[in-house]
Amino acid sequence: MLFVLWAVATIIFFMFRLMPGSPLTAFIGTTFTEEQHDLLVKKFGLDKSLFEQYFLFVTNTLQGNLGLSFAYNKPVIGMILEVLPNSIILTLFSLMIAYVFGIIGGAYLAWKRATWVEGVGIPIVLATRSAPEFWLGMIALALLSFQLDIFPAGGTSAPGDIYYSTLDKLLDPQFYHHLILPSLVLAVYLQGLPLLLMRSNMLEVMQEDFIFMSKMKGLSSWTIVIKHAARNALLPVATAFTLGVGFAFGGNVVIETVFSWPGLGRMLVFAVSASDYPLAQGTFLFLAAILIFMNFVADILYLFLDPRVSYKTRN
Amino acid sequence: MIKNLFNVLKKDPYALTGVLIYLFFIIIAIFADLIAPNDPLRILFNSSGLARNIDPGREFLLGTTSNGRDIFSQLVHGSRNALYVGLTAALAVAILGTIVGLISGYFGGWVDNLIMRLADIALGIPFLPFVIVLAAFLGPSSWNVVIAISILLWPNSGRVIRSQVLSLRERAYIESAKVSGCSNLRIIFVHIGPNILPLSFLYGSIAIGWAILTEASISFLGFGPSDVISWGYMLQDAYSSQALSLGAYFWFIPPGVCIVLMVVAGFFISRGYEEILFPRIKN
Amino acid sequence: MNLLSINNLNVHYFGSQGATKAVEDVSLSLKEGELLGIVGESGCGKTTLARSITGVIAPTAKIISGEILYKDINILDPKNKTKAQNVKWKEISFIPQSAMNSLDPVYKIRDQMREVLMIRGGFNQKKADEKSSYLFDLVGIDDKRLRDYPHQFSGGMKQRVAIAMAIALDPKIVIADEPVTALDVIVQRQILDLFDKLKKSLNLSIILVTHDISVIAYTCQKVAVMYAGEIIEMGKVQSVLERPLHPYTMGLNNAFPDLLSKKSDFLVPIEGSPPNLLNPPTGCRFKMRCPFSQVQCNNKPEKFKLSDQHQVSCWRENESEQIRIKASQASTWVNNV
Repeated sequence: MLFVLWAVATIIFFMFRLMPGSPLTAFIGTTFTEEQHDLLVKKFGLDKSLFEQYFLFVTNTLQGNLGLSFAYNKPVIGMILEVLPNSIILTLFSLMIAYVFGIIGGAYLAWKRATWVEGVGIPIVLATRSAPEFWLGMIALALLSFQLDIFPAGGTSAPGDIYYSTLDKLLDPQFYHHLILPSLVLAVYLQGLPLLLMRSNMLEVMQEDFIFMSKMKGLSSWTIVIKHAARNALLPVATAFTLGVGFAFGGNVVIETVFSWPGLGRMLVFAVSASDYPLAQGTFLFLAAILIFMNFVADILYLFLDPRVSYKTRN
Repeated sequence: MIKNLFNVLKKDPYALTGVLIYLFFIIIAIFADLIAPNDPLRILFNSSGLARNIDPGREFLLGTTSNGRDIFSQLVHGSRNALYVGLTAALAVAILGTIVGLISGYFGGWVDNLIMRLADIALGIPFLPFVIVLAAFLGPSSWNVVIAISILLWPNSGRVIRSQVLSLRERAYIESAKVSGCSNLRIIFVHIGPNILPLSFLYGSIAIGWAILTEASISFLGFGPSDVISWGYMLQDAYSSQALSLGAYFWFIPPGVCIVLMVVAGFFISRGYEEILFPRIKN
Repeated sequence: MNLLSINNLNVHYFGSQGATKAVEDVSLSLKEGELLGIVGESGCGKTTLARSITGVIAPTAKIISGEILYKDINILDPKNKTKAQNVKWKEISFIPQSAMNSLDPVYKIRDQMREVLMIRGGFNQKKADEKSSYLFDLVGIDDKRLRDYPHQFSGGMKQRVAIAMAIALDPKIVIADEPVTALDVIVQRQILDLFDKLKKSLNLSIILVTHDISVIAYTCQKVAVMYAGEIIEMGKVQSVLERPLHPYTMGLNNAFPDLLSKKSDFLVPIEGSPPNLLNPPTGCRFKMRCPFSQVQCNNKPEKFKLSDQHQVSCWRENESEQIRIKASQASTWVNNV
């Protein structure tokens, strides 16, 4: 995992430096004088050789220093950590709703194999997976927020309200009022994967011999489906969940934009639009780190959940 | 093999629907100029001045945008961009994934290890953020989506194809081909290749949908090309023109529906072929 | 008194191409303490038959007609649903063909034994564990291994676990489907000896399904020979194997090596393959491969019952002695089809 982390960080570094369009020119434009330009270059360390810059980059990052934002002149890491809880809460909330629904739905669809429920259910689920998340968000906003005025139109709080800490947020019902729409819309998009995965696993597991044996033993349908089939079918879904966390972080960009949710994704979009490249680089790096970490966790998790695999690795 | 494809279409209503949807959009895209009454980018005027925010009616089937452009014409032309991006990305994914899978699986050893490491790295880069950054540096263009998909999404198809190649490699007829002096290249392309093609096709058809969705997201975020009409662009236009609060459903619902149809079609087709690839899952 | 009676059972598989007549008009019976073997080549329907007795068949299969009487109660009759449910595992149990997948991989053996004993046997946990230890002892496994997962057992051990599981509720009948096919010869012998021991000590009745005639010869008292979904010969093992009445049985004899036999050692396969059961041939289903078939074989042979419980479905049963002599010559079978 560390190797991949290092490799990706290096790629990000070079991407931001070697891409066409010097980062500073984009930011500074033509309004600064030659002097001010040189000052800024020095300040952001852009006059040093590429190798030196890389070395600085690695050492700084390892110490948690991701540089200073061009636009805000504040430490990038501080800005990231400020919005991180919002992203985490949104992601976890949505994923949990999506997975609970998906697992139950998937098991149900597997149970209803070769009936009209399946024939109608599967296209509907595929359609949710095919719809752009932000489009679903737009419809939800137009209908439930603007037209029916049930939910707020975005943000984490009503204008003027401030949360003093993450705990404050979590305890305030206003926060949840703002959280519902974005997380539900995201959940609608996300549930497709666990649902189809669970269904496919269940169908496969139900063919296994030990399921036949359970029927011959005279065990109840409930015991067979839940205790044996579902337990076996869940393994890949658990792995998918961890992978889903890492993936959702990067994908949340659009939902955060539609609902003006102040999270990492929205910050990246802003940073890129404003050519604030330390902020963009830092945010991108952070998102990548989360993704890589969750990929790693997924692998470890599988080792623990499957007795067959853990047996092999222990011996 | 071709006969197999047609048989699947006949038996599976989903795959058939998918193919029909694709054909529908392909026809629309080809004849877009004939079908659309107006130039999608042209600002239109009527008797009362700028033809903005007009509700759907006889003159403008889906009404007009806040800038006075014909929504229906935009919708029709949007199919071109969708197909263009979708099919290029699908080709890229299919070709790259197949080549990588074939080489990695067949030769094994350090080549395989290297490729798998590269795959890990590619999977460690968040997809949408990458496209955003790409768009920021290379300038807004439909190519960004294709490039990003090519660079980051080959591991999925590559890995599956690789494991298929691994199992095929051990088969007896490959051994005998080697013994009788077939060159590696010949074995790869003549013996293993045809068995892999269904997988390439499958991942390709999923990639079309993925590309269209990504393109839509990028356009929505404002990083897409503004001189080309795409469904994503229409959605972004609608959003920033306050179509939501105006309740202009006719503006932003149709482009979304078109996207859903095209992506779903890809899923339907790939599901249909899943039946020939993994027949044991039936019943 | 028959413990189990199968009368005129018909089982079909339904697929996209039509109905496969897998089990055709099968009748047999089992007495208490009896070890009945069902022998036949792959695809002859013996597994379908075995599973039908347990009441759990493939989703695409359907029992078309017939009855299965356990202690005179037809367990196929929907009116007897509760009684049939009670019969499951408590009276009739099953040892599957490949014990590889017959156990849930994510639960320990002890938990799976507890499940059967507590849910269906009414044991409490303590008593269930005691019984599990006892069963493991009976089948020859160290009871410490109850703490293990299925994949930690070797093939032979897994088979023993499956046996322990099958006798957990003290059933009267155990059906074993190819129980030793996947095992090496030495372990085969051990498992078969175990069957014999259990049969004697627990007064168990066993139906043993296999394609390997030497297994039948080693363990069974009675044997039913199955071909293309039908039972073509049945009787005491000694009778059927030493004085077979059906050409197919004679051919089977030739096809299997027998280290103890004194007859000249040659192996002659029966040329050709079994008929397609989607459209089975009219009359005797073996007629295409039979070196002795005649015009009358286009009509379905009757069941001829001889003395000593030996029955056969062949028109030429009265000529069996001459046919037997001819069948023992390799030339009869070569270039036959």
